[in-house]
Amino acid sequence: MESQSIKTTCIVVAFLSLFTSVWAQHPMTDQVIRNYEQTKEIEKSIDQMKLAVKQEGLDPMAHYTLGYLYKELYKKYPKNESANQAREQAMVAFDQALAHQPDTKLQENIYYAQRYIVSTYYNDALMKARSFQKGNEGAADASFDYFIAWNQKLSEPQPLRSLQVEFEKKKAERYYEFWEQSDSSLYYPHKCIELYQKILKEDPTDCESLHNIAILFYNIGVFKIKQIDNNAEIDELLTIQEEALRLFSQALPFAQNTFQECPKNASQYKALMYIQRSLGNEEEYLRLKLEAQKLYPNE
Amino acid sequence: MFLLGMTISHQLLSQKIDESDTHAMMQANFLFQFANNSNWPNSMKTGSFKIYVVGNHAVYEHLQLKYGQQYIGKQPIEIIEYNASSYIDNIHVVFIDKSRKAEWSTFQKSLKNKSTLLVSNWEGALTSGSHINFKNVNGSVRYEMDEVAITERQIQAGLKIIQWKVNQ
Repeated sequence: MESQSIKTTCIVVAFLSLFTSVWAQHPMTDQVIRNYEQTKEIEKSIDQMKLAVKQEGLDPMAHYTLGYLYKELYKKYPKNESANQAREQAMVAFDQALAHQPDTKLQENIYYAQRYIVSTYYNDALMKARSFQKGNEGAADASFDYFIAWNQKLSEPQPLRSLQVEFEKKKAERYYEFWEQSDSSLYYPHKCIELYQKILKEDPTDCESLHNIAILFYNIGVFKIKQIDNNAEIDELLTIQEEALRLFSQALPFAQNTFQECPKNASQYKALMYIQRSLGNEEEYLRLKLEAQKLYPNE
Repeated sequence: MFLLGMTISHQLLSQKIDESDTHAMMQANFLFQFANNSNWPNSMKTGSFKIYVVGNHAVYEHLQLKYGQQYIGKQPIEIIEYNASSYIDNIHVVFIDKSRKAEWSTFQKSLKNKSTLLVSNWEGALTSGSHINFKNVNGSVRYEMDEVAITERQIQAGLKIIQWKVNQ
C-alpha cells in the first residue's frame, strides 16, 4: 500500500515537472489546446494556432498541434474540398514538426497522424478507381500516385504490392461496369483484361483475376456472336464464330486454373461449364453441370 | 492503419458469366440462313413463313429475338416452339433438337411428302432422313446436308448454303 502511494507520488511529480518544462516552451500552444478541449471549435482553434506558431515556431509541439487540428478538421468534413486542403496543411505541419527535432514520444504521435492521413489518400485513390467517369481514368491514377508519393515519405512506408493489386481491381470493376452499361464497345472489357493480366504478372495465383479474365474472354466471345448482323452472310457468320471460338479457347486455361488452384464456388463451376459448352465439349459441360447441381443445389 | 481501404476491398464485385448458349445462337443464325437462301414452291409462298423449333428453347428464343420481325421474301417469319398441341402443317422449316430424337419418326411421318425442310443436330441424322444436320467441327457449329432429299421436297437449296456445307 505504501509502495503504491510512493509510486503514484513519483508519477505525479514527473508529470508536473514535464508539464512545467513543456508549459514553459509553448504556452500559447497549450492555451489553444485547452480552449479546443473546452469548446471543440476547430476552425477557431486553427486560427489561434496559426498565431501561436508564429510565436512558438521553433517548437515541434506547436507545428504538431496545428497539424493535429487540421487533421481533425478533415475528419469532421472528409468530403469537403476545403477539408481536403486541411489534410494537405496537416501534412505540411507534421513535416514542420519533424523538422524541429521532436522528442521520441511526439515523433511517434506525428508518425501515427501521418500514417492516418496517408491511409486516407489511399482510400481516395480506391474511391476514384471505383467511381471515375468515362474518359477520366487518369484521375484515379493521379490519386494513387499521390498516395505513393506520400507513402514513401512515411517513416515506415506501407508495402505497395497488395495495395496496388487492390487498386487495379477496383479500376477493372469500374471498366466492367462501363461495359455493362454501354455494351457496345470492347475497349472496356479489354481494359479489364489488361489490368487483371498486370495483376497476374505480380501474382500468377490471384484467383479473382484468373476467374475474371476467363469470364471476360468468354463474355467477349458471346458478345461477338450476339452482335452478328441480321443480314450477315454465311461466310461472315463463320468468321465471327471462329473469332468467338478463339476467345473461348483463351478463356479455358484461366477457368481451368481457377478451378484447380482456388477454393471452389458455384461461379467457377458456371464459368468452366459454359466455356466447355461453347467449345463444343458437351459431355464435359454436362458432367460439370451435374456436379455443380449436387454441390450448389440452390444456385 | 489502412482500415478504410480494407473496408472497401471487401465489396469486390464478381463479374458475371453470360449464360447464353452460343451453339444454340449459331444454330438459330444458320436456320435463318437456310430459310433465307432457299426457295420453296409457290404453294408455300402465301401467309407467314413458319419455322418450328422442337426441343430447344434457346434456339427458339434466339430466333424469336433476332429474326422474329424479319421477312423471307414477302412472308413475315413466324417462329413457333413446338408443344404437344401444335398443329404441324404448312411448315417451311422444322428444327428438331437431339433431346427429341426419339420422336423423329413421328415428325417424319407427319411431314412426309411436304415441302418442309427438316433440320436436326445429332450424329447420323442425315441417314435417318434429315435434310440438314448440324455438326460440331472442332467446337464450331457447321452443317452437312442431303441435297437430293431437299430437292425431292421441291425445295431449292441456295448456292450459299451448299457452298459452306461440310462433307458427311
